[in-house]
Amino acid sequence: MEAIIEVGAIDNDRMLLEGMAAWIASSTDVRLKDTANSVDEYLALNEPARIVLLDLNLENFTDPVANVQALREVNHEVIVLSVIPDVEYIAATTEAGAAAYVTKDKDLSLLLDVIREIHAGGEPMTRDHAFWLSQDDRPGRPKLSPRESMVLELYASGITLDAVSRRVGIKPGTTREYLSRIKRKYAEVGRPIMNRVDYAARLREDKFGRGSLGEIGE
Amino acid sequence: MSDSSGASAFVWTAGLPLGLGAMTMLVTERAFEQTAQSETESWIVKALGLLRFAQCLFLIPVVFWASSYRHPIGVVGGFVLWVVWSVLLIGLGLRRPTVWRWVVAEVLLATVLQPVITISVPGGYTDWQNWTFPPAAGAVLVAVLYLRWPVATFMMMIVLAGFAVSLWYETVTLNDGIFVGALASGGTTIVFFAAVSFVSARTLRGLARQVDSATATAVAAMGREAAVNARFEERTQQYKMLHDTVLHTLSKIARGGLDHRQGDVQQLCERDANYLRSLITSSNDHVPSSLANSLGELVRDRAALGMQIHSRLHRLPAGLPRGVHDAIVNATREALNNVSKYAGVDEAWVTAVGRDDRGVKITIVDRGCGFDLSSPTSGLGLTRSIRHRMEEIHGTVVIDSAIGEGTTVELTWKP
Repeated sequence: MEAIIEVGAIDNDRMLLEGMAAWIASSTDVRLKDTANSVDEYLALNEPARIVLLDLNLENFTDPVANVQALREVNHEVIVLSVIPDVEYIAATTEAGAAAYVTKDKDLSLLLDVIREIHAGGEPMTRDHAFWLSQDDRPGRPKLSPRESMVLELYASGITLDAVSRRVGIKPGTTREYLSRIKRKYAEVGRPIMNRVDYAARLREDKFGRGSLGEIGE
Repeated sequence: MSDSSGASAFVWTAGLPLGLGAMTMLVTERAFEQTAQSETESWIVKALGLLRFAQCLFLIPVVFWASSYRHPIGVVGGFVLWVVWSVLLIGLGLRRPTVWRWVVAEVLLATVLQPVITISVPGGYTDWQNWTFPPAAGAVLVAVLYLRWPVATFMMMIVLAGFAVSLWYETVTLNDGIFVGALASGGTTIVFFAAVSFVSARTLRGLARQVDSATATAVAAMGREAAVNARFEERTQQYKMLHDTVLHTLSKIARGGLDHRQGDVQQLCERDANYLRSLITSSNDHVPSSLANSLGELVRDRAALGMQIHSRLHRLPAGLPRGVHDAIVNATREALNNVSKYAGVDEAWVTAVGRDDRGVKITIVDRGCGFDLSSPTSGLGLTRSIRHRMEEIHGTVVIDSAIGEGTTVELTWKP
């Protein structure tokens, strides 16, 4: 094991934060360094941990999407946690740039795996995350290709990556790429246009729409 | 009037009450599923058919005096034409949405037949061998039953015009002076029967409408009551489940003596949390559907037996037919049985979602040893009972497996 991975947690319930601390304490390579009751409180801390576990519903009347955006603006990696899954918020926080979604009832090993993968620069997708994205029926949702939808649905049902790949007829590496691409499509939709300068920046990013077509498959 | 119109009057007086009587009787004892209106319409057609049949039967003798006719082909051919037309009209025309075209054709045929046959028989219109009066009266009856009254009246005038022309021809050629008397008596008969039929049919149809609207109100009320009852039963069932699970666990912890950090207590809590979650997230409205309930219970039972099940339920439709609900739950149970028996693992994934077409899709996945789909012994044997259950509700089963890759069972049902 190399360096210890430091994470922070934001939850309005003190008891749950303590439970989380006890939970994570049992792992050897992950440490819960910072805790806070709100996003503002967390960001006010002195150099808070980069990877953040964020409760989906903070019950302090803050918008989950705004919470994720606030953390993303200062380059935190956000893992959204919730007890009750809410498909709209899960989809919307994914658009806002959340890195992963984990339900609170799942065992610790899954959460630790997700933390490790994010720390290593990967793009983890939990089955729960895939499932709720596959159930996303909001009018403005990102357009997925039939094959992307199929991969998402199969993966969400718990089938192994290899079996998903065999059924769709692609290589496991390609399946993983599909899942990352789906998350990227969400993040694309979520890029906020705040003002004219942003809009111009976004046009530049998109190369005025010229370059985007050919590059999607890469 | 000759015996022809006398005989037709007999057919009218015997046939019409018989038909209308049968209609009334059957309308009052109608079957529950059919609407009174459609049944009334069907019986009006049947009564007309009965009447037409009686007329045809009674008029058959005219064929046997063909040798005495001036134009036998006209009389017999016209009769055959009218019989064939009658079969088509009763069998097809009156049940079509374009019934008015058929009625107009019927009226024109009956109108034209009168002068044609009058020319063809020796005794003119009032000759007993002239069989066109009953068809003329029949055409007016059909017009009155199926057209709006102004149009029906117009149609009646056309038939009466054909009648008058035929009588006029007889008076002129035979010089028998029957014109005024025959026109008055025959015309009155036609108008009178048309009026009686019009009133009877309108009354019957009005009654049928009332019966239908009353039935619709009653059915709607029964439906509402059934829905309320079903909801109440479902609630009761949920309260019972909540009592047996969550409340029971919480009470035990509250009484003390149970350490919530202990592994088995944690397991118990997780199980109860899963059940609560399935209640909250599974359905569109705020009343959890019973399929979500049953699948939630199934998952909970399996968890109690030591199986780890990751279940995700979303948007399951409420109010599935009982048979469909049972078949889906049993097929899911059977698939989970197969996981514990053959897959060699104790972990499974159950995904159940409602589809846009009000159907459902359940996926049961394991990551166990899997089996070779092409081998007839393993594949079919393991999954026969699942297939059997889904076939009964016209659902579909897709099974995918490969050695070392686990097994996926997909159950799909749509209404």
